[in-house]
Amino acid sequence: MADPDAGASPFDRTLNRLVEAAGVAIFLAIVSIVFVNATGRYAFSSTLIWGDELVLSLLPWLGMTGMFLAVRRRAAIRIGAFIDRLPPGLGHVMGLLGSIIAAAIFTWLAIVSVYYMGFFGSDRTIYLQIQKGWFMSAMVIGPALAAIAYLVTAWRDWKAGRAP
Amino acid sequence: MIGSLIAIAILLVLLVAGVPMVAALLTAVAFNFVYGGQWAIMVPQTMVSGVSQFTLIALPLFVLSGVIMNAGGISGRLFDFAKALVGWMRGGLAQVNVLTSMFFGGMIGSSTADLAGSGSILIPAMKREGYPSEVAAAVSASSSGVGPLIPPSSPMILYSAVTGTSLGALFIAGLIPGLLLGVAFMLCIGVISARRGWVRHGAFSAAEIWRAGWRASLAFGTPVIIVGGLVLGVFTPSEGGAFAVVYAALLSTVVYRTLSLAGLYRAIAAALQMTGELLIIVSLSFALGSSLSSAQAPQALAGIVDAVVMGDDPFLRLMALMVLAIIAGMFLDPLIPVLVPVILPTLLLFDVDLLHFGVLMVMAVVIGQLTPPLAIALIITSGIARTDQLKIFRANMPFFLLIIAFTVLLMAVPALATWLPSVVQR
Repeated sequence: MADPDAGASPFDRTLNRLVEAAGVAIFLAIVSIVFVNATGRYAFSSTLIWGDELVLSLLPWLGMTGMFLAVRRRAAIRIGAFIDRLPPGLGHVMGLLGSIIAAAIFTWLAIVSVYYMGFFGSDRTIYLQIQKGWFMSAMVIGPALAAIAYLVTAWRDWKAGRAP
Repeated sequence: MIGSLIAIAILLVLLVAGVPMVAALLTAVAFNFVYGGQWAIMVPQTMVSGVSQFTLIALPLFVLSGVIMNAGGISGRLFDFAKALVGWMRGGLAQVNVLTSMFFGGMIGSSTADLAGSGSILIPAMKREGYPSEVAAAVSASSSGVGPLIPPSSPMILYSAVTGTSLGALFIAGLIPGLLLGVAFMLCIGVISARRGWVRHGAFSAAEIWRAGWRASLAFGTPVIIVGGLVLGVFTPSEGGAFAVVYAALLSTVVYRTLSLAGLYRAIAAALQMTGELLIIVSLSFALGSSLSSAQAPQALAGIVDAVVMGDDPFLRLMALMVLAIIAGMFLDPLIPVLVPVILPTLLLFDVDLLHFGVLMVMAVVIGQLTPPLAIALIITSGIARTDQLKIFRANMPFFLLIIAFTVLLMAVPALATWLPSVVQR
């Protein structure tokens, strides 16, 4: 498979690989727990009672790590059918504007999620009795990192004078 | 209600302006919540509850099993088997293209993954045998639409997550339409081959079928696990996804030895990037649906539909909603998490069978992937075939019309989708 970070600087590559490693670990945990639970139910008439709880709690983190990587590698889903047909100068400006809007709205989500964590973060999960804040923090850290990534994208595009 | 209209307008303007879809959805949702006087913390709260669904786990799992299968070179084995089965016919490689997509559909959940896997083999092969580039690309683009109907199916997972419809029932509902559409494509290719005088390449060989079938036999374990497990009620679709991942990983790394552990890691990382953003879009679609419902938007949409069809005929209502879905699908990908939360309450008001509509929504997704301006299937195939999208769109017209006719047939005969699930549930 092609290197998704080909041409990236050592810093960018290291950052992406660190987040990627965290995401892969979460992914493997989800696959393992679901597989072990399904197998255990038939083979040993026994399941990990906390399995579903942990898997569902990990999904926001899986989503946020994957989204961060998509933003960093310029693979975020967007409709280019119209903007790609604009004259290069206008397309460049629209691209910059898109990154800035994305950074602004993700910053807003991160701030609102801090309040959300403040209200519910100390609640505990039913079986594992872990504070839900550990999982809810995905809604703070993920959008905050995405906002920074979009700002960096906008900055680099502005300097390079090209559309994202 | 005015707030909802403004939110939808914001969403459309931002999407057209090329703002990333997650950011566009989030802006519309945030506006509607704040304008409606609701607490802003309900946005992350609804997002977390939207993404934390057991059904949704199936999405990353089936995407991962597909990525592992592609990386493990299983598409080549399926191609060889399909070629042995139908490659000797007139228009052989075009027939092979359809059959490979049907095989692939039973293993991976998305038409774009099918195109990436089988298209990169079949389009160059068809060009080498003298098919025009645009024809090779058109056949690949259209036949990849069969995949999302045959379980597992990413659009169906998204639909199930958004509507609460049983994912197992949806998967089974897509089987007959998927197989029928595949057969219809093959018949269409047969007619086109005869009219254009496409020559035969190779001869029928039972020994070759046996040899290629044996090489591909283990790959067919995935659909056996998924469909068999669902029909027999052995496991849930999400658990089926986990089994499919483990099976694909064992097959590629241990049995076939075509994938190293480093390659497996890269496959997981690729699946992570492909599904992560999709999960966030689904979580936002819940927030969007919730905010629109509280603003009575679905009732207004129902009124508009009734005004357009001038009455309460169920078929015409369904037709109007499908036209809306198809038009939206021409501009939106992913379509389902954005559109379905908006129209779901209207579907419930009209007493539309959600299982039937789920299969129709998959058809809307397939049509959208073949229709400019978005036309993701045409974009991918034009890249592989190195030809113009417009030429592919023109070459694709017979298959495109066939898909439209098939969609109308599915609308008129719901039993094509709903009969098998009702039998299995008994």
